[in-house]
Amino acid sequence: MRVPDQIDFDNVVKAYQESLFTVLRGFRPTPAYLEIWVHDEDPVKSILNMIEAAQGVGRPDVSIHVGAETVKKLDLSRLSKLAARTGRVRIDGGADGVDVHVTFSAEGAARGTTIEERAAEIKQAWERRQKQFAAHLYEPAKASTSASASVHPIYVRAIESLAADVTHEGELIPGRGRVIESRREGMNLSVEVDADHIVRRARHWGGRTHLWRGLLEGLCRIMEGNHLQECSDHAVIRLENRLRDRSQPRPVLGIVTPESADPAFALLLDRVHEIFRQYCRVTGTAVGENTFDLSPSAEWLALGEKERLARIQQVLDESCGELGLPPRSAICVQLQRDVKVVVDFSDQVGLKEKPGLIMKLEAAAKQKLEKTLHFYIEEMHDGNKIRRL
Amino acid sequence: MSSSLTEHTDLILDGTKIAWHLDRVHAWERGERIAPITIDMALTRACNFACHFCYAMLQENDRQVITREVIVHFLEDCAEIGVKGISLVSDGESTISPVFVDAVQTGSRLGLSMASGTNAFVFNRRKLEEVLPHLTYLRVNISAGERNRYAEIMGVKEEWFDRVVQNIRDMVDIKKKHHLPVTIGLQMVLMPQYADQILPLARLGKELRPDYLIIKHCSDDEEGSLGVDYSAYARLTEVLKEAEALSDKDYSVRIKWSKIQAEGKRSYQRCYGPPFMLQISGSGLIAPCGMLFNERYKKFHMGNIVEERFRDIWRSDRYWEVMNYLASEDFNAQKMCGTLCLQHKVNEVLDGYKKGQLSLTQPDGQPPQHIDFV
Repeated sequence: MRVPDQIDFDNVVKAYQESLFTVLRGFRPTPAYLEIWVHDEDPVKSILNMIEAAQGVGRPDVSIHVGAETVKKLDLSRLSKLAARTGRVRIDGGADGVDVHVTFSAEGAARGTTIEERAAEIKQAWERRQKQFAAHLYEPAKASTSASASVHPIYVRAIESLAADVTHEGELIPGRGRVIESRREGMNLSVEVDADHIVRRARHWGGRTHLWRGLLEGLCRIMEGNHLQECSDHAVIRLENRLRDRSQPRPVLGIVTPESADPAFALLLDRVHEIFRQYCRVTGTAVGENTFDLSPSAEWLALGEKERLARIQQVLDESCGELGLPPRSAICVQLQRDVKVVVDFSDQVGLKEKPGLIMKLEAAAKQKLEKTLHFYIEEMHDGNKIRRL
Repeated sequence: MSSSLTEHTDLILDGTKIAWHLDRVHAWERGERIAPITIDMALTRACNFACHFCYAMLQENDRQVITREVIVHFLEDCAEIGVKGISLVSDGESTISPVFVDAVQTGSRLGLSMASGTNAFVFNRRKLEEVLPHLTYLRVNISAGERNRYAEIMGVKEEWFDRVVQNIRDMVDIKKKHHLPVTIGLQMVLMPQYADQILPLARLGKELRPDYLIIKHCSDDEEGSLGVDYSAYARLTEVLKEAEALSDKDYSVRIKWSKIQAEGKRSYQRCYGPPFMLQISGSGLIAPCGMLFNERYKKFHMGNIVEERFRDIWRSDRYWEVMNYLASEDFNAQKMCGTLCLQHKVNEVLDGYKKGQLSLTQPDGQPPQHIDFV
C-alpha cells in the first residue's frame, strides 16, 4: 500500500544521476529531507543511505517504494538486517515491487551498535595502512648511464647548419661592458654584459669539433640581447628547442630537458650557470625575479587586425589540408591581446581529435607566422544561475 | 645555493615534499616516463554547495560520469604504474558521488594513500566509520566560523553549518576512539572580504579539536575572473597571526604564508610539476593542472578515464606531448596560468633546481606525514 509521502526510489535515483550530470552547484536530491542522501550503485546501500538521511533530519518514519526491476538486484534480507539498526522495519511485497517502511526508534538504534561492530574492521584497515607505510622504501638515485659524447641525431642537421655559418667565434675584445668568461677545454665562452645586465656580445672559441662549434654558435646567438639571468635560466632550453628536428620522435620518452636530451646540452647549461654565478659574484648582483617574456615581432605588431586574422586562417587552411582535413575544418574566430588565437572546429573534427589537432595547428602558426602565438578554443561557461545572481 | 627542503616537521602544509621522492625526480631528469606521485581528482563535477570563491566555476568541460567500474579500473592502474597518493579534492564534491566510499576503500586496499577534501555535509557517523580508517587525511572546507556568515559565503542554509560542525565532532571522536592515524583538518579559503571569520573559525576549531586549521589564499585564473585582490591580504597579517596564536599542542592553526605573501606571482616560467602531480576533473578529464580543465584549454587535455584506461593514457605519446609542452619555451606560467596553482611549490623547487639555484638532496630524519601527497 502506498503512503502519502512515500519515496519512489527509482525515480529519485534517476533524478539524482541526472543532476550529477547537469547541475554544477547547489546540487540537491528531492524530496528536501533527502538532502544528505547519497546514491550508491549497490541498491541496499543506497536505500540504507536514504533511510539514514530521513532519520538524520528527525523524521519519525520513512516509506520507500522500490520498483520490480530494482528488486531483482536487491538482497532484501541484507537490507532488512541493516535497516533494523535504525528502527522497526516492514517490507511489503507487491506486483510492482516492494514497499520498505521504517519507523525510527531508539531501541533500533541501540540494536545497531555500529561502532563496536566496525571496530575490528577499522583496526584491520589501519594495520594494513601501517604495513603499507612501512613498506614505503626509497630507492637510491641512479646515476646517469649515458656516457655518449656525441650529439643526438635529431639535432645534427640544425647544428651543422650553424657550424657552416659561424659569426660569433673568437675571443672577445673587451668593450664598455664587463666581460665574463668560462674557459674549459674544447669549449670557451665569454660574454660582455652592460650596466642593465644585458648580454651585448657573446663569443666562443676553441670548439674542438664541428658540432661543438655549431652548438656554441647557437648559444651565443640566443644569448645576445637578453638579460644574463634569462640566459642562465632559459637560453639552453631555447637552444635545445630550436635545434630539435620536429619531424622525429623526441630524444627521450619522458620530459625533454637540456640534461635529458643530450649530455652536450648539460655541459652548455653548466657553462652558462657558471658565467651567471661569476657575474653575480664580481658585480654583487643578486638573483632577481625573472619575468622575461618573448615579445611579438615588430612585423606582427605592425599588421592590422584583419590582416592578422587572414594570415592565421591561411595557415589553418594549409595545415588542415596537409593533415588530410577538409577546408575550413578550423576557423579562427578571434585574436585576443595580439597573440591569443581562439579557434573553432567544424563538425567534421571529432571531439577526441581536437586536443592533438589544436597543438599541431599552433605549432604550424608559430613556425610559419609568429613565434609568440598561442591557440585556445572558446571558453565553456558555468550555467549555474544561483551563482550568477 | 640552498637546500630545497629544510622543513620536514610533522605536517607540511605550506611547502612541498618533493625532496622525499628523489628516485622519481632523478628518473624525470633522465627523461624517463614517471608515474605521478600524487593525483588530485574529483569523482563528480557537481556540488551541493555554492561557495562564492569556487574556482570550479571556471573549469567547465564536457561532463561524463565516473562509475564504479571506471574508478576501480583507474585505481588499479594507479597502483600498477606506481602512483602513491590520490586526493579526492579537485572540481567537485566527491562525497555526493555514488562511488565515493567504494573509491576510498578500494584505493586503500590497493595500497594507495587516499585523502579527501569535502564540505562534510552528507556524512553521517556510519559513513565516517567506513571511510576514516582508509584515509590519510580528511580535510573539511569550512570558510566561516559563524552560522550566518557560513551560509552567505558557502551558499547554503544556516542549519547546514550545524550539521557540518556535528560531523567534524564525530570525525574527531571516531579518530580518538579507534586510535586512527588519519589527520583531520579544516580549511578556510580566505578572500580578503572574509577576514571577519578568521578568528571565529580558529576558535571554533579550538573547540572542535581537529588536528589543524589551514588558512589559504584564493586562486584565480589568468584573467582574474573571481576578482581576488591579492594586495589586500597584506592588511590581514595581524589577525592571521592572532589566529595562529590559538594553536596548542594538539591543534595547529597554519597560514599558507608563502602563497599569501607571493601575491599571486610566480618565480618560474616552465611548469615541471604536473608529471609528479596530476589533476583529474570530476568529468574524468585528465589535464596537467586543474586550471586547464576548461574547454578553452583543450590543447592540454590528455584523455578521459571514462573512455580509456588511465594506464593507456599515461603511456600515450599525447600525455607526454602535453607534459613536454609545459616544460618547453612555448609555455610561460607567468603569463599563461592562473594564480597559485596546486603544483606551485613543486614548480618553484624544480625550477630552482634546474636553474642551479638550489640543490635537491635526500632529506635527513623521519619522512614527514602525508608523504604521498607531494
